[in-house]
Amino acid sequence: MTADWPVAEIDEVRRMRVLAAAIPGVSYAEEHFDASFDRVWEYIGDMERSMPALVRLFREFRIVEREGEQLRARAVGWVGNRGTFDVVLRSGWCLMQDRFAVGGFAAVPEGEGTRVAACGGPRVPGGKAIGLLYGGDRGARRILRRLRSNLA
Amino acid sequence: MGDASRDPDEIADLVRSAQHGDAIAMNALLDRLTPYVGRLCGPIALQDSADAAQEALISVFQNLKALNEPAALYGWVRRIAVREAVRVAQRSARARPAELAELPAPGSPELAADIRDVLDRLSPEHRAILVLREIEGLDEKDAAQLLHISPGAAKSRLSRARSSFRKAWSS
Repeated sequence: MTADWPVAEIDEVRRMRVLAAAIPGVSYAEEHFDASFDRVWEYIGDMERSMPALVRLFREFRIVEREGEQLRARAVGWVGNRGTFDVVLRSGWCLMQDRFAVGGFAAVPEGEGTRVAACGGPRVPGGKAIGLLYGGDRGARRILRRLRSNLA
Repeated sequence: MGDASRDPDEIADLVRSAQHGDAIAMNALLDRLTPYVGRLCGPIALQDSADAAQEALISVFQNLKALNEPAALYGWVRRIAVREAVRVAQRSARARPAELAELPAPGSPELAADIRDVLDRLSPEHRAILVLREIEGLDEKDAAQLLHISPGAAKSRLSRARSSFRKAWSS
């Protein structure tokens, strides 16, 4: 009797809303882009190029291990600080974290364009207060502005 | 139900890591829970099922620290998902014109072409009891407890829901 029951579909942007709501203090934003999903994801998915361009904390972001959709990346900041990020990367979905920070992107086709979500923030006790101190969702909105500019 | 991704030790590790703020573990848990929540919310919230599943998953992950026993994860998630699906479906029904919000609809289920048509003719509460019995295999007592209704009310709702299906299938 259960073969044809309707099933709720949760797309990648909805998944990112769930994670952003669950991690205290992360900055979150989503917007529509006129660019196609393929164009958007070709850019974001090339993380060694896109992460330093979108996330100003990174001077360099290098993939050092790759096993399926599980990646490990070494990031270097502008004052020489370094971090090792565990990354999950698949079509329309990118999530990364090191000891102190978490962030990610999600994208789904929307009409002729794409809906893109970005989130990021500290991964430490008191993350919520730190997130507010750094302007709440403004950080994620700035990242999406850079993405729009870089896709133009 | 019995998929390999429900290895109890693996699930317990993921729950504990996610409870400590590990986003990669949350992601893995989300991979496992999303299809389950989708199967519960789909037949209850129908056109609003994506919203219901999203709300349910937000509630699950925001309250994950309250889950003391990882082995109880799926039962706990089921309770939250069914509750959210009924709430979202009721909210949506209230927002629609009154004649469409009268559930079960007065129309004849004999005209139903498929399962979705039959579900459309039932109230969210009737759909919830049907899901718990037919998809989740709960007995009437457990289903009634989860829905915070009396066993008599559960029996009556189930009988009405099944009757709609019988009429639809035999038409």
